[in-house]
Amino acid sequence: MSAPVRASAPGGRTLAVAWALVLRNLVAIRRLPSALVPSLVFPVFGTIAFASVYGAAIRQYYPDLPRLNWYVPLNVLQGAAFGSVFLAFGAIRDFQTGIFDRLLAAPTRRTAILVGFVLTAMVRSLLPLVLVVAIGAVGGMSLPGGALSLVLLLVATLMVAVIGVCWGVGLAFRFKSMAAAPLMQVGVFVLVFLSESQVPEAGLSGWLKWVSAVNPATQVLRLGRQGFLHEITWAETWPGLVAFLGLFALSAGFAARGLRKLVP
Amino acid sequence: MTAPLSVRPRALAQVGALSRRAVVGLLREFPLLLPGILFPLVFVAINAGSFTKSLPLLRACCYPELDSFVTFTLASSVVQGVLFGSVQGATGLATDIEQGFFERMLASPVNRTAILVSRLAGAAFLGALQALLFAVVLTIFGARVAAGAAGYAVLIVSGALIALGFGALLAAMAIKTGSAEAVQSTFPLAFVLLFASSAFFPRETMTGWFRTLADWNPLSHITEGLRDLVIDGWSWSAALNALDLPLAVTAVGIVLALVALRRRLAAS
Repeated sequence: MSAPVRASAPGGRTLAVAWALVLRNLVAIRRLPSALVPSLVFPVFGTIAFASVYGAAIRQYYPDLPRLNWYVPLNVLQGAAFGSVFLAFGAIRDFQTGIFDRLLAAPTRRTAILVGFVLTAMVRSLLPLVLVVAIGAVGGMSLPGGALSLVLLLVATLMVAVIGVCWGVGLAFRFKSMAAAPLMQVGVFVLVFLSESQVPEAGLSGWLKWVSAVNPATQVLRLGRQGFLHEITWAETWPGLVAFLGLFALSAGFAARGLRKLVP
Repeated sequence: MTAPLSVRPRALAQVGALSRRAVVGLLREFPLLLPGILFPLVFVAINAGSFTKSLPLLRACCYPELDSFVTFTLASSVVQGVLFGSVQGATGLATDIEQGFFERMLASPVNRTAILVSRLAGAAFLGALQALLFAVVLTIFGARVAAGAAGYAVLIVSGALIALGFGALLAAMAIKTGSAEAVQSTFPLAFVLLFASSAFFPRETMTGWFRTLADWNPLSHITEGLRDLVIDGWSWSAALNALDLPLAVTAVGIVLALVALRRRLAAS
């Protein structure tokens, strides 16, 4: 007589399975440099190009700070967001090669699949963070908020990675094809650029000023950027945390519902 | 009984027919053209919201007559949109090669050069159309072309020439590689080329090696020629600036594309 099937197989514990998926996703990233390199080159190029092209405009608002101080945090967060979306392309490839069906058939909680993607995105987001901050340091960036500035930038980076990957895989679970790729990128582009991405609130005008004020990404950006502009304050920290919680609830719910729909 | 194929149709008629096919093919895949149309317009909207308050800076450094940021971005929108569109045009040629249509054309009594010229004519037509579209849309949103009708005409002709020039360069690549993916992969390069120029902000506000890069970038000079016509009004030197470099790029691109075509014919 065979042993009764346990409610949760030993290999099926959520975190253990999620971590195994993280390792697998990271290996997949390493094996596909054509997908990894552009997502690292763009934040670096963006930092240099934005600071060089629009730096004069930023100087109007922060005359004593290096131009890079405004653009390093932006490009770190943008790199984390787009990197997470590229990770969702991997989910689409998994659908097309049938690997995802095997994951769904495995004796484990479905949540582990989602947690696996989220953790991978968080680990992956450290790459643009390190690279862009290093470029900034070489280019003369300063830290008026001290070492805590980097900690807050790290926190904001992880937040953006989580939101980005939930949005990306949420779409991947629904479309299961690369047709979703433009939508994934447009969503991130809209969230990032309809905020104080290029100039501070004082420099915005017209419809963009209004949209930026209600866009939660503005608060997350402020949280990560504040230490590069001035002393760190609680007043610029808590709205970012609240905005993240709101965005996380929406994007994680979107991804979880998409995953649930996959299972008959 | 069918009539014998006594006389080959003239090359010009072949170019006309194949150009029509190229344009219809591009218009049938309109969704693929949308990024090249929408992205520059979205970029204008976001930049206008971000940099309208920087107008005093632009007036002080280079354009005392500048009345709005939308006017400032009209030239760069044309260059940006047409450049992105030319990638799509060359992708069509690469797709023809991938799907074997190019080989069938070679097997038919069609003038070899007509195959290439027709694709480029299609790209130029599309470039002119895009330039017209950007000029009309941004005029509706407050842009003013100080050079008047002549300025609009140069914008459209320059748009066609930019599409022709960069389309020819990309066509050379399409013929050489025969891969639509390889042509599409030049899209980020177009983006880099644009950003490392004065397309989005004047060169006078840049410093260091990036300024040098922008000084040497042909897109800076093309955009500035068009921008001078839009902001300062008509001048022959500005018109020449907007047209001579695209013409030079066209000449180089066509030579490279013809060489690539000859090599491909020799190989097959």
